[in-house]
Amino acid sequence: MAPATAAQPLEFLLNGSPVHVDTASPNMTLLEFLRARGLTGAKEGCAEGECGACAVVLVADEGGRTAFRAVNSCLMFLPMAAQQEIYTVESLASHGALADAQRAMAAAGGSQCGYCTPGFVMSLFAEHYRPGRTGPCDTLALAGNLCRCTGYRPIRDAALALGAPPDDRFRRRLGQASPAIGAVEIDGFARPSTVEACADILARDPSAALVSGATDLGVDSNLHGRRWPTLVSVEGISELRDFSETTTGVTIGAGLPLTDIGRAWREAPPVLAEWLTLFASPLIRNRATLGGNLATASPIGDAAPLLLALDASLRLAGSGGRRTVPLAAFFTGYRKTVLERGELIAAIEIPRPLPALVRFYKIAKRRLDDISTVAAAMAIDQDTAGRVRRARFAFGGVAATPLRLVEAEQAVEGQPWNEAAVERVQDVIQRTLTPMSDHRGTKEFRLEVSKSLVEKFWWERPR
Amino acid sequence: MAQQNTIAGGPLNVVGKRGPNIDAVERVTGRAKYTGDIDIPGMLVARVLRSPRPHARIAAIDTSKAEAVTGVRAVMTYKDAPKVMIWGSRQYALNDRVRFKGEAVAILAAVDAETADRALKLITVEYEPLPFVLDPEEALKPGAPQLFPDGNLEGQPRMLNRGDVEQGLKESDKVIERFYHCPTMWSGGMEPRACVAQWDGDHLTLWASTQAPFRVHGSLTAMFNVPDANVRVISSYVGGGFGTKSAPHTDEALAAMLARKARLPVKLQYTREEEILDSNTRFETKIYVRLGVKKDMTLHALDVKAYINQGAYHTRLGGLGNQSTHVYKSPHVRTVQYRVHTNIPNTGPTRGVGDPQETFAIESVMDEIAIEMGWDPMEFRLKNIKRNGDPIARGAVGTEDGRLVAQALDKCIEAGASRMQWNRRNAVAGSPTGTKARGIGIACTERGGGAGLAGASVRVNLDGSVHVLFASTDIGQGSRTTLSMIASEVLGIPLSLFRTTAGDTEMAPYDGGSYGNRTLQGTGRAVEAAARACLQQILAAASPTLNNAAPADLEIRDSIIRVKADPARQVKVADVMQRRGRSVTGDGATAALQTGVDVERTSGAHFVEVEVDKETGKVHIIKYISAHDVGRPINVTIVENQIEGGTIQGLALTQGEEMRFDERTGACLTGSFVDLKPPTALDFDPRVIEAIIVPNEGTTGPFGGKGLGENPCHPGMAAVANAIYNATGVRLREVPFTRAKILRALSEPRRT
Ligand SMILES: Cc1cc2nc3c(=O)[nH]c(=O)nc-3n(C[C@H](O)[C@H](O)[C@H](O)COP(=O)(O)OP(=O)(O)OC[C@H]3O[C@@H](n4cnc5c(N)ncnc54)[C@H](O)[C@@H]3O)c2cc1C
Ligand code: FES
Ligand code: FES
Repeated sequence: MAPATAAQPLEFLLNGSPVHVDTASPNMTLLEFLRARGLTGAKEGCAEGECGACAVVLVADEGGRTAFRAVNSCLMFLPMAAQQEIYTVESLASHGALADAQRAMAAAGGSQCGYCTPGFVMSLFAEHYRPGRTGPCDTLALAGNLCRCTGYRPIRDAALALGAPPDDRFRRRLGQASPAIGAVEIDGFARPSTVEACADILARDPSAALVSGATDLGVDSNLHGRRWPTLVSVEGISELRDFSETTTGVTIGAGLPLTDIGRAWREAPPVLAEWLTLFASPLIRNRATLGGNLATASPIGDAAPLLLALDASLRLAGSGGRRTVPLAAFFTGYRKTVLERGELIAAIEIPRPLPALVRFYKIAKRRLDDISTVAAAMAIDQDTAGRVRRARFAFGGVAATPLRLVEAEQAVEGQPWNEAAVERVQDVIQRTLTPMSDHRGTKEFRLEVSKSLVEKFWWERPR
Repeated sequence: MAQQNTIAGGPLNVVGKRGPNIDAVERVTGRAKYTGDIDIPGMLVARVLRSPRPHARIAAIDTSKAEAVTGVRAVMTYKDAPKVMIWGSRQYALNDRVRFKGEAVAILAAVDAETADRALKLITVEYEPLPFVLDPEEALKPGAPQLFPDGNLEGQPRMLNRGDVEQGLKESDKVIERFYHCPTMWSGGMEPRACVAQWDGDHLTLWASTQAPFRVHGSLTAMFNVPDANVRVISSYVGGGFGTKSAPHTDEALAAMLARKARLPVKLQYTREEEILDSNTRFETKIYVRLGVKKDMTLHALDVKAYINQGAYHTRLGGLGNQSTHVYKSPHVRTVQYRVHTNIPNTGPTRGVGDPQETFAIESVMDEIAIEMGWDPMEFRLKNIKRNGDPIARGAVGTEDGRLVAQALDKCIEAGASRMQWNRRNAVAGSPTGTKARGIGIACTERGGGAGLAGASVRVNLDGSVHVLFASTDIGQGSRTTLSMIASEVLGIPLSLFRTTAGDTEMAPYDGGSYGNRTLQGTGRAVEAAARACLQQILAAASPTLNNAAPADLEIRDSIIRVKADPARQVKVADVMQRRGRSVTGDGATAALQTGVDVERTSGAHFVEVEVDKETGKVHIIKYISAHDVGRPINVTIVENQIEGGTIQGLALTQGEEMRFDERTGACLTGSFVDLKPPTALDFDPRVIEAIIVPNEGTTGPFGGKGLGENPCHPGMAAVANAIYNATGVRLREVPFTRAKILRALSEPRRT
């Protein structure tokens, strides 16, 4: 692999043809680039990852298999496209023959004003060709695309009408390896291939900022005009994309997209699937990572409550070496962490055995693809006599940082898990939590909901 | 399927069928060019500097630093903006006074986005803050901050009056008094506003994402004081509008101003945030209702007082009135509407204008009184709805000088009730025990359609293909398809030979635009007339080759002209056209469709079953039936899609899309999709929504079709509120029905 310092041009494959970009503004988005080239099928509906009108497809590696992955092009900085292989809606039809996804959308009446349509087509296309898919397309694959006109039924009909993908150039493409995403260094953008090289760049250039899936940074750039003189992508560091599962624990690379965690973690507890479906949308999950989610230290991030309930630790790496920090000690204040300048999150470690019962709850306005008002993860282990051996109550959205309610945990440990115990937990919530009021929810609402979730957790226990 | 030209009253060959949109391929391939997709060599990028204050006078403004930036081609402020207001509004494109946070203060155009963004930051503005007011009732109180010299009230209070309400309330056996509130709500489409302006001398071409090209045209000719022939507005593909694009807006004027000053084409494309903050979104209503009934289940008196929060400028909105005066018979009705200016962004007509809000109030209060009287809410409605032959107001006045015809609300109610199995609802509201409670609710609605002037042209080309040209727009309601189907039906030429030009003021005759249930009825009637004019010419041209048969004795089927009595004698349309050597064109125009005493309206009834989780406050839609009268459906697929899409939009209003404003700063707190949360494919399972097209035939529209677009969005809020009541015994009178509100209401001691 090329050393991280070797300057390389920005090159990628677009709709099957190589593209060279001589001068790329590092803050330009892939969407802006495509539209400026006349590929105006992808639209800007929001520039914040919410609508999917900008969806395009990347060719990605999925644990050794090649797959098409729909992503929001509004949240990819153009240099992140380096060495990728990208398809837009313009490439699907060949010689006037529509791709199946397009034909199905047209036939079902899935396009009214049509502004959302190219995005839906790309999400549906990726789902249509999903390796190993049996049965009809999964309509959950369309959860990141908004349509204001149709009411979705015709779009759903289109998805359900698609059978196996044809044996065409796209399917043949999946029979070959995905592009290697290696080291890149261009003006204002670097993609090192090792943790050390990454730490080096960060140490050398104090203005450099880490970027992983860019689902947070992209929004910051598009909506709040944030600019970074240099972006350092962790996408080329293989260590950050590793996943391992042993008898003593599970290690998840901090740069592994959430979609891949769901795929790679074979013996995952049911809570992981619950958590994943509630996290953003497939378009976002195809890029978003745990490292990014934890590093932002958002009090309403969804990863922290779950990982706190699982007693996770973070493996940090920097120019000064490596260290492991319990997640419970990672957040130091509102959007503050123990991360030092030049240090990055390399992996998340979850010890085994996992708690026997873990649940994740998210209260948000919309069912899926929404920021939490309150998020909670709860875990219980009981001994043979039914007494609580280990309890974890972790919350987001109720304080300046995600937190574990250690006092509540102690109040139930060693005791039977019953309604009286639930009340003790609720009492701690009422006494100690200090949520803020905002337009997503008042302080009182957040407290009420937090308490009701503990009750829900108890009611829903296996009986 | 054989295509045959249709003689009035004969069987239909095209109309009433199912089928995909004729432009579906353009849309699924990404080839359809929306305004933002247009690229003209040398085109500049425009940016708007917006007011950080809700109400202020501009004390000083300095653009010199921005002008000095290389690549900046034009900068403008109120100092060089035309002193002509936007059509339908009290707003200047730029002014020395701002009346909402987010209003345009200065604009510039530069060679690229980066330069424009950079330069924009260099404009300095000194504001002299003025006190502001956000609430419509507060704004009418003495001493409230004043937006305009003539006060905050727009015009006179709008009054609709019939009978004597006070007397009627006195005579009633039972009177209830209630208050219902709908906040300002975002109602936009997926495509943020966009326009491209290009001047060629004193000729302006403006591509705009608008529903009403000729309204924009009128606004711009007045603003730049140029002849009608000098302005061309093109709105070909529009990514949804839902009313927010039905009136001219500042953006079109700003782009045109910049392009004129810079002498280069300019693109102005709003971000999502700009689109939310500066469009004409759904207005807030505060509605006070008094309702009186007689023991015999008749409605006797209805008194409605409404405060409409118009925001800063917009003036031309229809307001309320349909639901209070047109749905039910009541000897005494009075509605008084105060249209009030406040320092929130412009609001305007959006899907249903004020009908969803008014339906929420009227259909809730109807439910409430029925329940208090121990009546079945559906029976109570059936007893009081207007039916064919009943007196009804012809215009937006109280006097019932017309007669209702082609009405089918009773059929909508009956069809919906039977599908929902209305008798499953809880006999006693709130009786279900357990954490999850189910209940069923109903809401009815109606509206007019087809109003205003419409026009269209049809051209049959030398090869027998057909072009339909119209200056209303296809904003997703499928008018390219339905209008072509109408012409195809008339001409007997297959739909596959049709092309359309939509939304072009230079190519097509005057048309008001696409809003208010009007395109199918109004423009559709014009297309029908234009097609008939073409038909006559084609048949006349064919006559000599068919032994001079009279045109009345000829028919066209699948593009072949035959003598009816002797079908073996035939000639192809294309051959006739070739021989004729000139294309055939027809123009159609319609004015007011309803002139006599007969009044035709469009109605619908919705039924919903909900499940309320009493622990989390979550409302789950179990089943939703939308039964609508659309007259004769032109394209069944499109009608069903309209009904379902509108229903989801109505449901969306129940769960979110509320625009909230900070009382201390006047700032909008919900300027993004993250906060508004329009529903995704998974919020409301589309399988639970069922559209019912109630068989009917209209009297004014083409082939008996009626307008539909608005209505499906009306009843959602009321139907869901009524269902939540039936499930839990909790009455929600404020939208949206958030979990917090439901939990709070559930925890309050129940009134009996
Ligand atoms: C539409 C939408 C929906 C969303 N929904 C949810 C949701 O449901 N729940 C939720 O929790 N979040 C949600 N988010 C937020 C976001 O997707 C997540 O926080 C995501 O996990 C961030 O990961 P990323 O890789 O994209 O981070 P990036 O944007 O790449 O980076 C975020 C921050 O983390 C830093 N960083 C990244 N990687 C590392 C690392 N390895 N070590 C140290 N610092 C690092 C970056 O410097 C940056 O400051 C949503 C975002 C969008 C746009
Ligand atoms: S533009 Fe909306 S998700 Fe990208
Ligand atoms: S078809 Fe209009 S937004 Fe989907």
